Amino acid sequence: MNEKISSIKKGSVLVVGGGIGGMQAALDLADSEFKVHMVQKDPSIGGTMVMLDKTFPTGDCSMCMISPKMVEVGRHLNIDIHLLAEVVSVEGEPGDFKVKIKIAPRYVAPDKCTGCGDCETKCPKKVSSEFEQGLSVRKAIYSLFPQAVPNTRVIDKDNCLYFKKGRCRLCEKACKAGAINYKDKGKEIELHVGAIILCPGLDRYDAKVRGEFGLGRWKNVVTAIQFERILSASGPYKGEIKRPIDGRHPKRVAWIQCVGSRDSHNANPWCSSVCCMYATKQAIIAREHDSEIEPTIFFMEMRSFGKDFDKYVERAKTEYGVRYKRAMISAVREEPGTGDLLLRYAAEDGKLIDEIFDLVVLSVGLEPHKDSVEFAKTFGIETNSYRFAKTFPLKPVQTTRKGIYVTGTYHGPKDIPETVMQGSAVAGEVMALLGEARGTETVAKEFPPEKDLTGEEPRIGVLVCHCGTNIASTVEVEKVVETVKDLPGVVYATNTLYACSQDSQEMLKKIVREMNLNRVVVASCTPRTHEPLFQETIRDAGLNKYLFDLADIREQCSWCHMGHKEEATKKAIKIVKMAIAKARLLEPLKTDTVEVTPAAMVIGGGIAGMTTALSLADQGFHVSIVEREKELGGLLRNLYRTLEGNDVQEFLKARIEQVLSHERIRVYSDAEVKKTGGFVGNFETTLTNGNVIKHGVIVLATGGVEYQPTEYFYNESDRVITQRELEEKLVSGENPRSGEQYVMIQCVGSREEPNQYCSRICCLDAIKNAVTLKEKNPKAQIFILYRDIRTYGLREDYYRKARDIGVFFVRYEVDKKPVVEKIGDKLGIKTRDYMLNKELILNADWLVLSTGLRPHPKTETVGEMYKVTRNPDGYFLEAHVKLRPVDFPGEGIFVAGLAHAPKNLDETISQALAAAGRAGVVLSKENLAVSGIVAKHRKDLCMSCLSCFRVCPFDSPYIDEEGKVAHNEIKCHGCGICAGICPAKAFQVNSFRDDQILAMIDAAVECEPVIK
Amino acid sequence: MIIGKQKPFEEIWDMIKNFKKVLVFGCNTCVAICHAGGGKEAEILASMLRMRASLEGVEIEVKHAAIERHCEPEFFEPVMDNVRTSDMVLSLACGVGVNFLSERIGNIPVYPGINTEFYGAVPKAGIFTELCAGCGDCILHLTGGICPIARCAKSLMNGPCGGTNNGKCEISQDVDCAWYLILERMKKLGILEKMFEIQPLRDWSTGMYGGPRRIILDHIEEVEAQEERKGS
Repeated sequence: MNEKISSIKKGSVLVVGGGIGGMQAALDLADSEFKVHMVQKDPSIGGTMVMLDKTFPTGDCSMCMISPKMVEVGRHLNIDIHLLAEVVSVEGEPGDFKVKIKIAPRYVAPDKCTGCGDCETKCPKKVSSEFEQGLSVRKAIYSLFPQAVPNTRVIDKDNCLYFKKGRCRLCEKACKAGAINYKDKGKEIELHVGAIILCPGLDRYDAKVRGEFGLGRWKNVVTAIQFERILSASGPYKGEIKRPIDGRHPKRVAWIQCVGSRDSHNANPWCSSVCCMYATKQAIIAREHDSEIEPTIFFMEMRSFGKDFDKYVERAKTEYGVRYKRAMISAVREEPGTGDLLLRYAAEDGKLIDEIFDLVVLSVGLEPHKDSVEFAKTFGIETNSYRFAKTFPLKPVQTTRKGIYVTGTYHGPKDIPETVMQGSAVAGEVMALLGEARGTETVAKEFPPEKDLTGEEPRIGVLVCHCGTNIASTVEVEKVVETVKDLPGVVYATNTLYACSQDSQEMLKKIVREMNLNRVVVASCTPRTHEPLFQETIRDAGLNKYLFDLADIREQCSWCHMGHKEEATKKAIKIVKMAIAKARLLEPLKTDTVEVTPAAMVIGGGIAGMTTALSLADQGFHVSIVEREKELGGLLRNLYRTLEGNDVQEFLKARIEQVLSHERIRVYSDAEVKKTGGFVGNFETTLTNGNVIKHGVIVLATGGVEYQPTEYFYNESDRVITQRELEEKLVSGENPRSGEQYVMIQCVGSREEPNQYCSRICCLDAIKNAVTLKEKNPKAQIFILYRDIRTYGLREDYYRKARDIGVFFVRYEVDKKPVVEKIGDKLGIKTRDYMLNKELILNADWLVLSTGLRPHPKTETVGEMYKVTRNPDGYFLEAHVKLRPVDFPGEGIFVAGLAHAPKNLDETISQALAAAGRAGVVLSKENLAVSGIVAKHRKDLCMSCLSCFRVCPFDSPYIDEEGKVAHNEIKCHGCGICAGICPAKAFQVNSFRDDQILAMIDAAVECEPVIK
Repeated sequence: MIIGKQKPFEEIWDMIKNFKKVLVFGCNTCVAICHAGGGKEAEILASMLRMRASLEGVEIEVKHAAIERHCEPEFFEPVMDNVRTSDMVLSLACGVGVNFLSERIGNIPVYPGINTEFYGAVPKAGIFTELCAGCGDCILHLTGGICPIARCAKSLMNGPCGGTNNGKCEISQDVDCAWYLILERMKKLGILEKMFEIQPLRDWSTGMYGGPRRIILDHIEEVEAQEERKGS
């Protein structure tokens, strides 16, 4: 980092918004040597995702996923978080913006507050909790949620008794750290940053506007976000599903979809994209909590368009008995006295049905913040007519002002993975913009040399924390200290009010030096948040950071055994004894580093591959594109216009030109990968044309292919064409005649076994072509036969437009597909019209098939070569469907475009930029540090049975030149799967060795060591 | 490789429960690789047996040990004194090992802790498949490298039989028809016509139907014998 070219560009970035999208952008940027300032108007980061219970389609706990990320952001040396803060003005140019930020008073000093929460316990004022959506209360001094980052409390001035009546100050008395400051005035700061990322997040539609649903009037009508809290184990009902009115367990639960969405008269005209899936998820989770529940989802169209979403909905139907009813609910009424709710709806045949439910959940849509237009003005960017930030289909994350980018729901409604993807995408864009300023404003921590412990007996110091009263009110801390202080190896033990406070760190360093300690045990809270802090402290005192162990006596003891002082104390003693037993056997571990080749290899020269390559090249890295065809461009060569009307071929031509003329990009066309070797930072690839490339990362952008239909006489009649062929005809100047009839059939080869997935592009393709036909000749007749029209997000506009200009939409069911027969040079198409409840016979001049996408046939061999798995449909499976949407489990390999799943052009570009952002993080480092906690392989014990080789998710065991199993520790994540499966016990994970674990078990059960 | 599978725990417990000093004895070759009877399994099983004994309130000392191979005497030598301190040995080696140790241990019983299953391959971690029957008269050159003796339920020499069903065997939809595989393989090798050659009646005495087998490599055996003569 010492050879940076000086630059007028600033090496820092402002991220406005602390939700999951902002956090991703901040981490990617800070990890690649940019200083990040995060501005968040809430008292904690986290945004919307922290409120969710579980996430679709994997059912992972939302908080469990986001919490480690929040901790990472909170602890990052190069991320400054400004809370309760708002930007008031922005001046300057891309590369150097001057930003003024107003920070509201918190009334609690962050440097003193340890987050113990004693003040909160004492505060007498109860306020309806925003986080729990009004279903429970918080105090006037509070943190937003238990895992809040930072955990500094905040005083809600509008509700605080002292601020309102001048009396109380109980929090001040309760705070042993002296952190309360009623005189806090807030402040205004000025920052200079090179780029700005906007991710202010979303508001939810206020369903009270739709009075007929009775939200606020009928107590058993709740919003979907309230239901998330009801489902949550940490929510107001502790995960028990109860009705707000009487606490009874509901049996019949209804979800009403599109509340506030797809309604240009009363609400928002756009589709909120996520509600079909979250309602399905809520129905499934509700059933998992209580198998008596009978969920019904009332919907207009099932928009499960994402990767593996259709399969999830199928499972909801078949495995969980979720009933899907295609109906719009006109009103919800309460049955007097019971709290039950009467829903009235029209069945498919038009008959009105009244049905009683115990609980009704309104699937409310997403919308921009109320003040989003003002917000835009502050930053000098434009909004679209719906108050979302204005962006461009071919530049999906750029706003109208250069140097200012947008990610997440301010760009349009979207789910978590797409928000995360855009978070990395904006990071990629910023890296490309500010590339040369990398490392100019970041800091690195310096440590003293490590002490040599050779020949030393363990000298353990133990620090037992009161955590204010959190631990001390349940566990007798002094007794714990008394019991452990004479254990073998322990030379010092003491207790402290807050082990994590700044003065405790100084004290800890002093004890380590004065008592000549060589191992440290802290008994306090969870290692999840605090282990890195203590490790850093002992490292500062000259100890290897792995000579530390944390005994969790708060989350795993005092919090769950409140009121059982004696038993809790006993358990705390055991927990601490276990940690000491392990500490005796801890050894200093070396953290190796490996050099990084600052170059990338991109496989696939389609738009995804080219976009990634250009972004990385602009960031300053060399890029090799490997393309098996002779020409660049991939599938995009067959596309002429976007839904919004952009000229795709012109765009593609410009992109190819940019790629070919870029000084840091080399294109190997007509070539494939023949041999691959190496690991993150140091790959070596041999191509079929003999070239050898050295590179630090790999991006798989192998693309997809369009399905070639065999259905509906496609190969037998030239009157049966695909949407792509129709588009080509329209571009080449063909015009429809008056009265000429076009019938389009959707989902040809999609959404049924064996291709149970939505190809995402076909509804939009059909509508795009239908609108063009109508615009060319309004008298052309167009029928679109569909299963569900999936114009998600702001694309709903085009669906409405198509209907307005007279395109007919006729729904069909998968088990009653349209029947086509050839009649002369026309085509007779029979289908059922569910509105008329009659058979409809169409005489089409043209039958246009909306065929979906398939993974590229090469996906399989490429997948095998890089040991990356594929989903049942053959698309590459990312490392984590929510939080790592462009990564693979093996480090240094990324995915973009159709190789990952079907998606639209703008989404492909976003994902390609995201891959560039993630890859940029790796390439910006001169060296990669390898964790000390890796599996150690003993070749002398190994039988080369290949068990480890086969089960390792990171591909770190390998077969060496002698044909024996060997282990590459650089790839190892220390997960321990190999140690578990190895029949020869040839693997031991550092700091989790068998002898260490056995010592802990022995300490827990206090029996003699096993007879050997 | 010899594939084994640990016996049900109850069956093992019934074998050992009336003894006082038990040695769980693993073998670190074939059965270790199939996660059935290596040193690690011996350690785990010994621990489980100790737990069971203390739950049942009986006093049994259960120790564990393992050696490289149970089918050659030299590996036993360093541990035999230790082994003889037990009053029962639960062997996790294949049947060969149980026999071999029984012959050498005197009046201490050796019981099997695993069922010896077959000669097999490991196509994927945790999956073991039978591919050879050890019949003593290999015909794989006639059948495209796919063994009908081991892989056809009837060990037919001229197949397939009428029970072949879309590539599967009539005994189960999970079992491939070996003769279907042979046919497909021969097609691929371009020697399909060989299928029509009738194979004569087979002499099954080369396999275990002819009684226990023994192989002597004269040139090596002779050297050994000379060494022994010199010594005496």
